[in-house]
Amino acid sequence: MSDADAAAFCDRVRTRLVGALTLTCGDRDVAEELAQDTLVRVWERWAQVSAMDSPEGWTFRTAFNLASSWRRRRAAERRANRRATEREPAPQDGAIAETEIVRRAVSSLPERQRAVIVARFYLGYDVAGTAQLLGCAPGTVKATTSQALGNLRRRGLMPDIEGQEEVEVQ
Amino acid sequence: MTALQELLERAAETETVRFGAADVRRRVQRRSRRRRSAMAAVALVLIAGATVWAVTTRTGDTADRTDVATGPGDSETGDDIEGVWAPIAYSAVVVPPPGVYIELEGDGTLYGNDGCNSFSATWSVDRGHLIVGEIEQTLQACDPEQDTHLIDILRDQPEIAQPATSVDGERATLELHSDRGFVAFEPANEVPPDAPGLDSPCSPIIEAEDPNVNELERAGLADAVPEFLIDRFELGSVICLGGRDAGDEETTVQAVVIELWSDGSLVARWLIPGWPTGGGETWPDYLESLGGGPGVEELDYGFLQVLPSEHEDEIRREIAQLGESDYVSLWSHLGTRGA
Repeated sequence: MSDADAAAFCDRVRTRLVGALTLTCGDRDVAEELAQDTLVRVWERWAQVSAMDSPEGWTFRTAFNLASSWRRRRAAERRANRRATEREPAPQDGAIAETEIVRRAVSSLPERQRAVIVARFYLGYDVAGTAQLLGCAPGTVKATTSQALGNLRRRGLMPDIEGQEEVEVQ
Repeated sequence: MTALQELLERAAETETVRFGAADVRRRVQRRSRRRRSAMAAVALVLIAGATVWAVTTRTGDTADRTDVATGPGDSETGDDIEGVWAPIAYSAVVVPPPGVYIELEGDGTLYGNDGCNSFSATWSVDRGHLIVGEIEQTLQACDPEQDTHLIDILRDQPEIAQPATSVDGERATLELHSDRGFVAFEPANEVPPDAPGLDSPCSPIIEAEDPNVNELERAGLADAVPEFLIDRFELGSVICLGGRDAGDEETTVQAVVIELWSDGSLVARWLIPGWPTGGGETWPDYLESLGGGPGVEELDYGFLQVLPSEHEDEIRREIAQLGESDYVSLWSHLGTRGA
């Protein structure tokens, strides 16, 4: 239960944590900030977290919650600044990188769909694990997965996943 | 590995993670120091208050109090400017936004916030100048008009003004001068909160300890949840909504979703029966697009004035049907069904 254990845990999960938050938020810099905030909370409660069945699960759940809080704050900032800025991001020249397309697609999903997609297809949780992670019923996970994949496909952002739904949703 | 998994892998991990456990440890230590500083400040105030009370009670002395100067004195070593400072005046024509501060820690670390981004650097004092090392900032998107005067001055290795006295003649100030202007600070007891809006009318705000623990449970209110919430749902009361992504599909959802977030910014989220969801970016935006929605008269970010509504009975029934288990998770979701 030492600091060394906490440090080792941080180093072990940080890449996956940043990756999950990058997909969730669509912004790598924000993801790194939130990941560090998450790991600070883990570190401060390491005695309790390390005794849990799944310290990683608690960590990712905390990260999702912090990401949700961040989105709420960002929405507030956008509203506050809307009149002042009134501008859209400048269009990029040429094709947008695939990674950016994927990040935008996932991060623009509704919150629960976003979390389910990241938990199942990036973090590798199965339906039961995702349900436990997100605190909902397995049936909800399946339904939400179906909705999320449908949304991604309908938006035409990721044609490569055509047919994914039938494979992944049991 | 499926096609989607491969896409997500590529999208998520294209860059090297730029922090490690050592950075996390520093943040933990910083938070711990801040807590101790805040507690020490509170203790100091309490002790000072008790002392003054004891002295005046015992002697009945009503003579003028003696002010003890704090803040900068001889700024050759920097010892006398350690602490948290909040700006009170800029040379530029701006008013410091709330939340701006610098914190000069005894170990040579400088922390601060310019009103949008947090930053950190090393600091020292050399021949009366504040020497600030390379400033590392968070990268939150800011208002284009966001003032950069504070950081600009810090980068200029500004001269530390001789002990100054603020306009009220009591508190010492810290002034940093460079060719481009100055910033004057006054001592602050503690670092301002990062996020505004803590003066939410959604009281009582239960302070968070664990972001994953339902605060109703932690506060011992879980057993009384339905009654508690029904009590809270009083017509004319203000209920916090927070900025929330709108619902999932172009469908009608009949549900009451109640979540209590540990940061106090979202106390309850209500999907009022009969309101379609979908399309809106945030709940306030969405509600605004509906012209306020039924029962909503006044709408501002984060707050919803709940007024007498034709849906009142429905809402009360939904709440009454909720069980304790529905509150255990932040993701509690009851009765969602498509139209």
